Amino acid sequence: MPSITKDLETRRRLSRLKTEALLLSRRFGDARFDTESGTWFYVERFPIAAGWNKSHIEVLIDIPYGTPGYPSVPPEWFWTDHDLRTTEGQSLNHFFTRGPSTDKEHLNHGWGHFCVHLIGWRPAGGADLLRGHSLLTYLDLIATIFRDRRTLSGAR
Amino acid sequence: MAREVDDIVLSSTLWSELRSHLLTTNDRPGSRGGNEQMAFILAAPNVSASRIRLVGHELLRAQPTDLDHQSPSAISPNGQFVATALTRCRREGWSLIEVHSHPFDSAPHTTFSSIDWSNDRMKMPRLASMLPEPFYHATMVVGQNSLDAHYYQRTISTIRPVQQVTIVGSFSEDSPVLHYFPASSSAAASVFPQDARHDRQLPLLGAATQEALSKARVAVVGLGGLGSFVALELAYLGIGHLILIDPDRIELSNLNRLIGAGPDDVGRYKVDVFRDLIERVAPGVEVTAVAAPLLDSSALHHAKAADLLLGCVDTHGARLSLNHLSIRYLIPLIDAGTGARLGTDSLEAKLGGQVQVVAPGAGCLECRGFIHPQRAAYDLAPPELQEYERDHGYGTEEARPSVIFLNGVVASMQVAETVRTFTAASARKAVNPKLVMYDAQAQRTFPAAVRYSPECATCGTDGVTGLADLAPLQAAFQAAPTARPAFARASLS
Repeated sequence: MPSITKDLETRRRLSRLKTEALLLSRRFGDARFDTESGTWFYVERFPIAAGWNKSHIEVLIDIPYGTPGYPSVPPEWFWTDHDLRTTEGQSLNHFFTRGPSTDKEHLNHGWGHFCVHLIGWRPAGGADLLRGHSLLTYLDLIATIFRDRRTLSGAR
Repeated sequence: MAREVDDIVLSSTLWSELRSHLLTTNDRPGSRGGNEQMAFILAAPNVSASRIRLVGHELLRAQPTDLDHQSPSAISPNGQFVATALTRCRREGWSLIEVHSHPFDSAPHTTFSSIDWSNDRMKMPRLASMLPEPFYHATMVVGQNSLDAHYYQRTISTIRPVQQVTIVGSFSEDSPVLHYFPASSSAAASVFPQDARHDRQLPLLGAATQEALSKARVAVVGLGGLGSFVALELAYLGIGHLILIDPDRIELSNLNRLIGAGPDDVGRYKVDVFRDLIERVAPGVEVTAVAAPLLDSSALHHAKAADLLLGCVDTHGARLSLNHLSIRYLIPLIDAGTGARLGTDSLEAKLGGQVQVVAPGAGCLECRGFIHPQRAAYDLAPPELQEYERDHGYGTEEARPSVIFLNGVVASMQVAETVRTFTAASARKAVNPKLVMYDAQAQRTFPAAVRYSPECATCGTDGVTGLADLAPLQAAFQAAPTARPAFARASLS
């Protein structure tokens, strides 16, 4: 029998991710998460604004899994298609082909690492994920980032 | 010898709801006013270096339909109500506190009846055999003015007294955030020996407060510019036990503000320097020195034994961890911080600090906006991620200016609030705000309003209050997940 004392925090995180996945699935289709430990969250077809060589990207978000962890600790960075470019073929600012030393597996499977850091973060409580910040608002932020083609592409 | 359960810890909110349920006669349909009432409390253990505490998490009130019998002198729940509670204990890991009232008992020493004892002797061993460790089972009886509590010590198959019920959180703006209700069966308090070295402060503090300080166990987390002042001031005041937590060694650049440290101390652990200093100036104070980060198991093992946490840290990760320790374990936190901003062409210079109290019902550092999310995320990230961040120019900060007179003022404010915490409500003279700001340039302090937010993910309704050892704090690199699968992008598959 698995240790209950070890798993309560994980169970709480999994419960929250499950709810967030349900909400996000209604907007973006397939939204999945690590059902074992709650350490990642994935959206298969995330729409981005015009101006890029793709209309949809895959998004993989690392979920802070310490205690304290998510949602008190916000997600940062995200993984996406390593071949994402502007329509003119330019590479992106804030986008790196090398991740942390422990994430070689991601890099070998077509992911690039995109830099995002948050200044404000007021996590929503579990009872109402629409009041406050969550993965829903984090993905809204990602969508907003991709609308800023000027900053991302370094275009003058 | 097995460690004893020292006390039952409840938030002021849970205690108020419990008392209201147990002792208020009302016209609820199906109820008969003036009858015994009962409830279950789902609790989590806090097993620390020096004691065991049962931390209340959730109240399950028995409604009339949950009872087989109810009268002014007896009450018994039905099987369904009991089974529901025990199922949650088994599946979710909770310990169980059964509470019932003696509504007509206004004596100063309410205690269990012979029927209560008979019932407990029968059911406690049975439950212990059904639910594995670390399940604890306690019962409590509440009268109008007093209470009693005991628990089952399974290692020696004996019912043992609980010493007290500790209530954490304010009942009103001017009430302290710590209240102690001694259990009727607890050991009689020993005579408090007066120490002549405290004669000059006794008229100000009062004997009761001085005694409370002498019995208190206070953790000072961070022994830098603030913590060095705080630890020494508390030692001089006569605190009983100081737990000093800081992983750092003294550096030359610390010597402008670490009160009591000198050139010979460079290279030594801060906690060792201040332990030695306190032992010299106040040998009656018991000191535990832990040279480790707060999230290290050795530090947590001691920190969660504290009656009060004092935050004297300078990173947002440590501050967030302290916030969670306070909320999860129902240990009040008095957090302090200082800041200095040099003037520029567009910004005026600022010098100041703040002292704030975190306790149930008063909000926390997160919902008050005192945690910088990016810095907290960096501080709490695994080492390889921190290295990655630094490689990309994040996570590095120039050392901020720090000066002794600013630290001294804010530290003393924090110590004053500590003394107020151990001062009984009857002796308190004024409303004490939960957040006080200090403007060093104007030389003034001013209170700031705080409010409890039920939506807060940490201290709110669906937060982490009272999870204690069922969801212990741990650093990300210690909570290493199962190997993350090599996740191939769908479009490449």
